[in-house]
Amino acid sequence: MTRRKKISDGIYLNYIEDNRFKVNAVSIKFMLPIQTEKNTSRALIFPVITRGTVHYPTEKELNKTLELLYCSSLNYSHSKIGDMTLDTLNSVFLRDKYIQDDTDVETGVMKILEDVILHPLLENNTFKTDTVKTEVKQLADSERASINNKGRYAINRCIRNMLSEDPFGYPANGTVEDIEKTTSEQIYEQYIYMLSHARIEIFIAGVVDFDRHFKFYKDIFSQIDRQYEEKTVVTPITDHVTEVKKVREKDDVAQGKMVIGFRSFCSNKDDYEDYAPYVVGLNIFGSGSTSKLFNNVREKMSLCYYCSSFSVYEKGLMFVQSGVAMENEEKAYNAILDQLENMKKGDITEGEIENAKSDAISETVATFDYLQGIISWCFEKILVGKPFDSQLYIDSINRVTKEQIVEKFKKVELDTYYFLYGGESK
Amino acid sequence: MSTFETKKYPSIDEQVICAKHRSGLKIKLIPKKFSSGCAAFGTRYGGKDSVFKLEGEKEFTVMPEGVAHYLEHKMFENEDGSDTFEKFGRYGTYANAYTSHDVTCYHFTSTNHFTDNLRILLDYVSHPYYTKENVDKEQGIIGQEIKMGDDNPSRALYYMLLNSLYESNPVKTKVVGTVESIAQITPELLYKCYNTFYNLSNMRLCVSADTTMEEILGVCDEVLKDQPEKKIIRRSFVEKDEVNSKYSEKKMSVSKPIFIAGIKDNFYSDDYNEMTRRSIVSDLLMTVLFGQSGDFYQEVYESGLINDFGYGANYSDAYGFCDLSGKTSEPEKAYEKIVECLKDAKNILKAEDFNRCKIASIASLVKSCDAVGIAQAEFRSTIFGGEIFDTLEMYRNVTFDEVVNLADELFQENHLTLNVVKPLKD
Repeated sequence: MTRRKKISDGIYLNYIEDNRFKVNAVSIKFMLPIQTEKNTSRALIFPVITRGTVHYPTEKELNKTLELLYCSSLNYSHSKIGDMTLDTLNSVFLRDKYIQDDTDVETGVMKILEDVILHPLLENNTFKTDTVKTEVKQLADSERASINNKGRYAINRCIRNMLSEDPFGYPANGTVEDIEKTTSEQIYEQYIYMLSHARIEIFIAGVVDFDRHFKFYKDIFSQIDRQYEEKTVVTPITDHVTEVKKVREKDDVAQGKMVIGFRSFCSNKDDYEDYAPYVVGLNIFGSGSTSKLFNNVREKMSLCYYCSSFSVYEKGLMFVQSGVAMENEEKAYNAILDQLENMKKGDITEGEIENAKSDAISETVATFDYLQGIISWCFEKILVGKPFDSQLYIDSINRVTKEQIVEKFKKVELDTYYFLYGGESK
Repeated sequence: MSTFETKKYPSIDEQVICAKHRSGLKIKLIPKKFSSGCAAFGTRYGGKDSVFKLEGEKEFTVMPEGVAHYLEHKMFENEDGSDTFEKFGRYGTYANAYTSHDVTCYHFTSTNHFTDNLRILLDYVSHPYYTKENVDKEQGIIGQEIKMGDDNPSRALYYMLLNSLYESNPVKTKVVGTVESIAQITPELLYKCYNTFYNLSNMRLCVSADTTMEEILGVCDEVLKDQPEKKIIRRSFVEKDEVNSKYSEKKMSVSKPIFIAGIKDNFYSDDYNEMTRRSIVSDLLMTVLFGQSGDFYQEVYESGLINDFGYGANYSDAYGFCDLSGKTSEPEKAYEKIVECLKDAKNILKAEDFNRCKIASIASLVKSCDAVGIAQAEFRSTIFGGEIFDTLEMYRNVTFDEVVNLADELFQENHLTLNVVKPLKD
C-alpha cells in the first residue's frame, strides 16, 4: 500500500507500507536547481549539521545515542539528479517487535531527525567555525582522493569533458579550490535557503503510523518560512553532437581506463513506450553478462575483464567503460563501436531480446525486495511524473519489438572518447 | 529419503532448515517471503589452498598461485558449447561467482523459475569442461583482472599487510595469482584441483528463497550423483607469533599516503564456534576502542590527522588479524597515535561503552537478516561448520572481561605492523 500526502507547498510525505522487513527506512530528500557555485556549500550542509545539534552537541553523543537506539543509522548523501542538487538524510532503524526491552527506537530516531533539520549547533548566527574547518578539510581531501579509484575517476573526467557547458557536468562537490574557500556563512546561507526553497520529498518504507509521522513532519516544516517555486527537475540533452571530443590523459596506471560517452536522446521522462525499448536495447548492448560487449569484447576477444554500458537517464546519456591493456586501446575501441553498429543495423536475435526483457523485468521486481530500492523507485517516478505501479512498466517492457530497439539505437551519437593511460603507451 | 532438521530463532523470526542429500551434499534453507530468491553453492577451496593431497596419497601436489580463481572462471564453460550466463539470462537471473582466500562460491539471485535456476547452478558447477583452447582464452581476461587490481591502491595495501603479517601462512598468496603464475595453468591442473576440492562432501548449498527443502532435494536428485567422501589434507605450516615485517611501503598514484596497520592474532581454529567467538570478541574490542562513538575516532577526525578511518577483525580457520586503515599526510604520526591507544587500551576500555557497542552489534546483525542474499552469508558460516544466526547468541554471551583479556594478549609490540602506499611525488 502506498500513500502520498502534501504537507505544504513543495513538501510531500510518501509512505510505502511493507511488513516483510525487520527495519523501517526513512529518507528525506531536498532538491534545489543546480547553481554550480553553490554545489560545495550544499555538499557541506549535512556533514556540518550531523557533527552537532542543540540536543546532541557533539558527534560522539549523537553516535552514542544512535548505538543505544539499537544501531539506528543516520547518514546523508549529496549528488546531482537531472538539473537539481539532491541532498538526502537517511535513517534505518529496527522495528519495535525486534527490540528486546522498552526502548522507543522510532521516537528516538524522529527526535534526532528533527534536531538535525531544525536545530543545528550555531555560534554567532552561523555554523561553528571549527566544525566547518574540519569538514572543509575532509571534503577537500576526499575530492583529491578521487584519483585513487581509477575507474571512477575516468568516468568523472569523461562526464566533465562531455558536459563542460552544462551545469550537470560540474562536480557535485565542486572542485578542490571551491571547497577550500567555502565559509561557514555560505554553508549556513544554503542551509536556510534549502529549508525555505527546496522541493522536499519524505519517504517512509516499512510499518509505521502514517498519521503520527504526517503530524510530526507538518510540525517541523510549519516552523519554516517557505518560499517554494516549482522548477523543472529533468531536462535531458536534445542537441546533436557537432564535434566528437577525444581526450587522453596520462597517469601511473598499469591498465588503461576507457570511457566512451554517447548521447542517447532517450530519458526516463519519456513515456514507457519510448523508454522501454531503450532499456531493453541497453541491456542487449552492454549491461548484462549476456550482453554484446561482454560476449564479444571480453569473452571472444579476451581484451578486458570488464566492458559494460550504463546510462545517466535523467540527462539522456549513455556510457561504455572498460579496462584494457594500453596496446589494445584501438582494438578495444573499434570492438566496442562495432557492437554499437550491430545494434544500429539490427543484428539482434530474438533470444537476445527475450533475455534482455527478462533481465529488465527481473531487475524491476527485485527492486521491491529492498526498502532503499522501493524508495528509489518511488522517488524516480515522482521526478518524472509517473505512477508508482511497476506493472505498467513491466507491461511496456514485454511489448518491446526489435524495430523499436533499432530505431532507438540509430539515434545514439558518439560524443566523447576518454582514455586514462599509463607510462608505456604511445 | 533425507531427513531435515529445523532450527528456529523466534526472537528474530528466522529459521534454518538443514538436510543432507544422499549424494553427500549438506544443504541449508532460510525461508524468505521475497520475490527474489538466492542460492549459493560452493566449496572450501580458495586462493590459499595451493598445496594439498587426498588422504591416502603420498606426495603433496603444489599448484601455481591463482588456480582456484582461474578454475572458478572456467566453470562457466560447458561441453556442449552452451553459455551458462545465457541459460540464467533466459529467466533474467543474475548469476556470478567469487573466490576468496578460503572459499569459492557460485551464486544466483532470481525472481522467477527458482527451481530451474537451481538446476542450472548445480549442473554447471558439477560438470567441469576444460580444454587447452578455453583455458588459454582466459589468460587475457584474468590478465586484465590482475592489472585492474594492480591499479587499486587499497588492494595493493591489503597484500602488503598480509606479507608483513605472515612469513609462511599461505593466506598471503594472491587469490588471482600473477600474470606469470597463471601462464602455467593447464586443463590437467584444473581437473586435478576440481577432482580434489569439488567433492560434494567438501561443498555446501545454501538457499534463501520462498521455496521448500523438498523442492531443493528434488533438483539435487536430478542433477547430483552420489560421491564417496574424500578427505583433503592441506599442508600444515608453522607461523611465528611475531609479525614478519614491522613496516613496508610502496609508491603509487594516490593523492596522499594511505596506510593499513595490522595486529596479528595467531589464534586460529578449525572449530567454527571457537573461531567465531574469537572474531566476535576481537570485533567488539576494536569497536569499543576505534568505533565512531569513541575518543580515538573523534580525535583523529577532528584534527584531520586521518581521513576515511576504518577498522576490522578478520578471522578464518587458518588466519586471524585486526586492521586499521585510512588516509593521512603523516603516516608515522597516525601510527603512533594508534599504538598509543593500543597500549593504553586497559584504561580506555569501559564496561558502559562495551555494553552499548554490544547492543549495537547485535542489532546490526538483526538488521542484516533482511538481505535477499543472506544465503551467501550463510554459506560462509556453514562451510566452516557453523550457523549464521547462532552468531547472535554468541554476541550476547561475550563478557567485558573477555574483551579486556584479549587486549592484553593481542596488543603487544611484536604483533604490530604498518604498511603505507605513498604518492609518487612527495
